[in-house]
Amino acid sequence: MGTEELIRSLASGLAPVRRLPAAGSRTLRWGTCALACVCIGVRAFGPRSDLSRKMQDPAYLRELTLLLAMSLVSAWTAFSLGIPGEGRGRGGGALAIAASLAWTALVVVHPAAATGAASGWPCVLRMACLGLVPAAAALSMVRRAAPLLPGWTGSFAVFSAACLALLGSRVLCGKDDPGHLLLWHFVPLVVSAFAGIHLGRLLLARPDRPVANG
Amino acid sequence: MRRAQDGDRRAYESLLAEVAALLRAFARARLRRADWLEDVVQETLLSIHRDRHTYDPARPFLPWMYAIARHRLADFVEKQRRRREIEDAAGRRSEELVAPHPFAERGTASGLLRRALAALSIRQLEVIRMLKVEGLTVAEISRETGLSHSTVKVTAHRGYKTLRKLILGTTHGD
Repeated sequence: MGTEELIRSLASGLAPVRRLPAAGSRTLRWGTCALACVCIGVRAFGPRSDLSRKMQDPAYLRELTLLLAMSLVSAWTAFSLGIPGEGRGRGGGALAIAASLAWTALVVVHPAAATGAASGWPCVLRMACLGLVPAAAALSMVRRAAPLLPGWTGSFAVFSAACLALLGSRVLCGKDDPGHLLLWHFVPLVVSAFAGIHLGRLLLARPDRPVANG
Repeated sequence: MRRAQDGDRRAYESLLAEVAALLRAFARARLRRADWLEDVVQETLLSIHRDRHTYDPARPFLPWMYAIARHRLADFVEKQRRRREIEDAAGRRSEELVAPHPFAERGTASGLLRRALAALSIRQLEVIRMLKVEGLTVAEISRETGLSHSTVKVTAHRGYKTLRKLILGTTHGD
């Protein structure tokens, strides 16, 4: 088939398509749904016993706000990367790394009693439960776009969900010890970003995806 | 492109014709092999068609189009490199296995066709079989398989291209 013939064939089969909404509005939509999911999860697991006291602590509130911002920036980056020519990946990546470092600093600087070497696997499991639906939603929303860098896009999508899961886990887990937080809350976050690269390559790669038609 | 997104076929055809000219110039400046030029242009046109819903009419069209073109070009070159490696490896292996007989199946038309058909995806095989063996129309295949008209055409087109490349490539190579 020659190029002219291909053009005629594509034009003759043309159907109207639903335009992809802007990255900002998709981020808001995803953020609202994902936050609702995390709230439901937190309610189901039961929040920490000292939550009302912690909500008066500015450092704790700063930490939660930072996690929410990290999540939204990462989601926005993932949705932007799904649009050819947007090219905001590098800025989003730098912001996500800076925010992660800021969160680590907040956690380390904030004085808290050491909780010993108790296992944190329940925290990891709860994070996985809280992040599962938001991650699936983010990946499925990105899949509707045209990510040219599937690995990076997948990483940002999963990372954004993991940030929300971390936020939820901070409302669930009563341990504020920096050692516990770094090992059992922050490491899963980093692992999720790497897992997102593989998931992105697996689920978002383009060649065999069907042609958009309305 | 805005009109194409709304389903205006005439506007879309003239847009794709203009885009094809731009893509030819773009690919010509970057490709060492001239015989790949039309393949790259066609692959990019198919990607533009598939991803047209991601274009935001409030933004300029060319950065969107060239981003797709750049990735398609890199993808294509990489695919060709991998294919060459696989064919070289397969060639070496089949030479080791069947080299003594000059008229082994490797050189016959049916063997050639069988090998080429094996390279197609199941969907491509199915669509080409319905089109060429059963003589169904695109609309009938679309009804039967649940695929859209465009998907049927694009699947068949890609299948033909793979067959042509494998058969002609092997024939020329021999």
